[in-house]
This record gives sequence, C-alpha cells and structure tokens, in this order.
Amino acid sequence: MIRTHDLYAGYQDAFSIHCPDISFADGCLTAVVGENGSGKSTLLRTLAGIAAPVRGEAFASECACYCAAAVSSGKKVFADEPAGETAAAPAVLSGEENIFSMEPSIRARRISYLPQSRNVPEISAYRLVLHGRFPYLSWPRRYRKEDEEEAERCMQEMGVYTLRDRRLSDLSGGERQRVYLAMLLAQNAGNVLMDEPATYLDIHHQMRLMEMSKKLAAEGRCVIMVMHDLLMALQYADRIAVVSDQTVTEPMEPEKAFSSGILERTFGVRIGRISTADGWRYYYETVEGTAFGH
Amino acid sequence: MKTSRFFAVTFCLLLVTGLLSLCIGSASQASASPLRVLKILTSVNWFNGTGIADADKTARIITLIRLPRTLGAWIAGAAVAVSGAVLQGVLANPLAAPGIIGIHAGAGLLVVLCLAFLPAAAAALVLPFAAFAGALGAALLVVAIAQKTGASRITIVLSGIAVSYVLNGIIDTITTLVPDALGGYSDFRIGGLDGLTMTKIVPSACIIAAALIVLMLLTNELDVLTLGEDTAAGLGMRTAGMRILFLILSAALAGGAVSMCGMISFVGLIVPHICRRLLGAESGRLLPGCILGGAFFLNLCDLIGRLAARPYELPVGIILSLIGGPFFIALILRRHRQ
Repeated sequence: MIRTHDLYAGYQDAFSIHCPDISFADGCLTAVVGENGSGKSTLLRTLAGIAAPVRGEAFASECACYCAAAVSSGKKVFADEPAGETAAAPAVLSGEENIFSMEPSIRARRISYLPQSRNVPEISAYRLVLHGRFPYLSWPRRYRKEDEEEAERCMQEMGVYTLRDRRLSDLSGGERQRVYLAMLLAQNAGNVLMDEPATYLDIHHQMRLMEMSKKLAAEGRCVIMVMHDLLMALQYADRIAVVSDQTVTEPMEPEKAFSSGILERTFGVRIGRISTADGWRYYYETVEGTAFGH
Repeated sequence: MKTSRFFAVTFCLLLVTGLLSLCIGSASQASASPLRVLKILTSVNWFNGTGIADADKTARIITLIRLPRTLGAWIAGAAVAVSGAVLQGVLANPLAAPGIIGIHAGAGLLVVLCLAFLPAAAAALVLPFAAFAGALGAALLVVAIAQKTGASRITIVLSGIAVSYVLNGIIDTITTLVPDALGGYSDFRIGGLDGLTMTKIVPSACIIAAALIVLMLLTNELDVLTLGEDTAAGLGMRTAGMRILFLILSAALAGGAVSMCGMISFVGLIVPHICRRLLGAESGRLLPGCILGGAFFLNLCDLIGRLAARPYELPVGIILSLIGGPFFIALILRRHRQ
C-alpha cells in the first residue's frame, strides 16, 4: 500500500501537484488519469521515491497477504523495523516506512517503478530481467544462483522465456515491454508503479498488459498505473484516481468515476456505456451522438 | 560472435602484434627474428637490468626501446578504450570519448604551462605527472559544475565542452605569448609512444591497473546505470553519485594514458564500438574485450606508424586519426540511416 500525507510533488518554484491524504490500496489496479502535462508522471516518480517531493510525506508498506507469501518462501521483506514514531510527524502505521527517507535499495525492494521512456541497451533479455534483482545484492554486486532462478521464473511467468538470449534491440515493442515487466516482477516489490506502459503497444499487447497487471494486483500487490486511455482505465482498473486542477482525487471505483461525471468534466468529453455480457463497455460520444470506442 | 572466440582471436592478435613490434621497427638494421627476441628477453635479468651485452645494439634497442614502447601501447590502448566504453555507457552517448569531459584540455594546459615556464630538463621530468594532474583536475571541475544540477547526462557533456573551450583558450594564449612551448605541445597534442621508458610507464600503469580493477568490480552497477536514469533509480541506485564515480574512474584511466603518450582518443571511440557490436553491451564482457582490443589496436597503429615511412616515424596519433576519422564518419552515416 502507498499512502500520502499532504504531499506536493513537482518543482519547488514552478509547478506542483497536490496529493492530499490518499491511499492506494493493496490488491487493486489503480489507474491515474489526467490531461497531458497535468503532472501524472511527476506524481508517479515522486511516489516511487526517485524524485524528491516539494513537501509532504508518503509511506509505503507491504500488503499482508503478499508479505506472508514472501516470508513463507524464505525471503526477507522488512529489512528494517519502521522508524520510531515521533509526536510531530504524521502517524506511521505499523509496517509503513517513509518513502523519502528509506535507503534506496530497501525502497526498491518495496516499490518497483517502470518509467515511461526506457533505454534499449545492447544486452540480452535475460540480463535485463536479472537486473531486477539488483536491489537485493550487497557489495560486490554479483548475481547469485537464486537471483538467476528468480529471473528465469519471472520470464516464464511473463511468457518471455523463449526470448531469453535475444538482444533487446532485436525485440518488438510488445516483447520488450513484457521483458521489462518480467524485470519488474523479479524486483518482487509489493507496490508496482508503471508510467503509461501501454503507450506504443499494439492493441492486443495492450490488452494482455492490462490482464497481466490485473493479475499482479489480484495476487495482493498495489499496482498503480498512469494511463492515457480512459476507456481502458474504466474497463480494467479497480480504482481510478483523477488528476485535475493540480490535485489528485481519492481513488474511486470506475462506476463512481463514470457516474459522478468527473472524467467528463476533466477531459471535456462525453462518455457513454452499454451493458454487455462481460459488464459495461465504455465509449466516447461525439456531438452528433455517434459512437466509437470499445 | 561467440564471446570465447572473440577473446581467443583478439588475444592471439595481440600477442602476434606485440611480438612483431619487438622484432621490427623504424631502425631496419635492428630487425630480429621472433626467436632471437624471445631469447634476448629471457636472458635479461629484469631486477638489476643486467644481461644485455653493451655491444649488442639490437638487444639494447629491443629491451630498452621497443619493449617499453609495446607495453606502453598495450596499457594506454586498454585504458583509453575502457575509458571510452564507460563514458559512452554512463553518458548514453555513442560518440563520447575521454575528451568530452575535458580530460584532454586539462592535461594539455598543465603540459603547456610546464613547457612554457620550466627549464627543459625539469619540464621533461614533471610532464607525465602534470598531464595526469591536469586531466583529473579538469574532469573534477566538469563534475563539480555538473553536480550543481544533479549530474544529469546532458549537463555533464555541456560543462565538459565549456570547460574544454576555456582551457583551450588559455592554452592558445600561452602558446601565443611563449611560442617556444608550441613544439612540445604539438607533440603532446598529436600523441605518440616514442621515448617511453619503463620508469615512465610504471606510475601510469599502477593508476590504470587500480582503476581497471575497481571497474571490473562495478560492472553490474555500470550496466544498471546504462538502463537509464529512472530505471536505475527505480532499482535503488543513487544515480548521481554512481555516475560521478564512473566519470572519475574513466578520467583516471584516460589521464594515465595521456600522461604516457599524449592525446590519443580515437581508440576510445573505435574499439568500444566494435566490441559492443561483437560482444554486446554487457560490461562484464565489454570491458575485458576493450582491454584486449584497445591494447591490440593501439599497438597495431603504432607499428604501422613505425613502418609506413621508414626510416622516419609517424606518431601513433596521426595513424589513429587517419583510421579513426573515416570510421567516425561511417558511424555517423550509419546512425543517420537507422
């Protein structure tokens, strides 16, 4: 779970985005939507702990079910006990740690982050996935047998084991994306943050990505995904947080996001839906009332 | 190419070139067969320098001139190639070479200061140390400027260029006011391996060896940093500090090489590119590949320079430019096509 306390993300003297007391729940795929330039990516980088906040706090904890699984498999999840509570600071729940004061490698075991723009180094897919184990190594950082096994397991889980020895530059966009997801999986964090992972993917890869992200959430993780596609967010996400007027709303269920009209107000579109055997399917309404979309 | 085959082939090429560069040189009357060279080398007592008959001119040329020169080429070539490979990875810039973080300008400035203001004998003595200090000093200055802005890749490159311009301006001022320094500075700028002795090699070799050992312990860090700023940070790396550490290590490597043989830089561009194409960018393989490849390539260029215009010698820097320049152009064209 990731919880914010009066958090301002952004740049000191220019632009900041306000995240009041908000919780991103475990077991949920939370979509963060907002217009271009609204600061979604900045928010995500801040929640991942790789950008310093303007002010405010954010806390990360492992979810109970996920912890139990990790502990039973012999992995150490909590490297440190949470820092002692002080009177002035906001209350720190048990098992929570302040994202901005964590040791980076400890933080990376708890929060994994997939940036929007990624390099394509001339290394093999397997090697990239192996780097997901980087936060678990102590100096001198050499990958151990258990790291190699974990990397292979994650590649199998993402269905990219056959790409093991191919170079990243030789893979298609969808394949590369899944390899990066396998790396994220190998990082074995309870909180998974992804910045527009569906961009540039073919539609069937997008849908597969969403299914996989839902599965990660269903296993108990807190999955936060910045999304561009409102209809996909409505269809797949368990919760939707909307960024409007430089403020982030509490994550709400898609039903509420739809019926409250906040999406329509924020994005200046009209969204309609029809009932199907698989649940609601959403579409954009044009002025004339014709429809296109899912 | 299979990794093991690459290393086997490059290693053999390196030994053959090394042996050839002991056998033949610009002094054609002092050519020797490989067997003779091996015999001479094994008969020398390296601890007290005895075992070379004073009258045997060929043996003296081989042990006192060609051997240091060959070893110097190996060490400097390896250092500059690895330095280039690290910089290209850390700065995510395929055209990065040691000069890009001000190493050459810094070394050049201190060299020209020595040449202009010290008596010739003293200048010759302190020149290697001055070159190393200048190289490292300029790199630290670049890093200090870039650090103010979080040591992002682009500010490192920009401040490297800016610092180089300023230092080169000072160099030009000095050579204009003290034209006598121009000759020595020109030799340094072109870069050459002539006049190397064992005593000149040892300090550089120690620094270079130390930097190489540290780098080989940090190959996974280097690979993760190459994944990009945000990915590396997401994996729990302190990217700014790590980037600065790698800059200082590559400055030490290039500085050590510069202090031995002047500004040779194309090795740092050509060799990492070929190695990356053949071996991939994984540092655990790329850096050893660059060590072998750089040593071989500089040794080869030096050998060509010694033979091409016998009995004169062309400095290795000129041969490098003549081969490196066209390669650079081909590289740009190739990138443009992609």
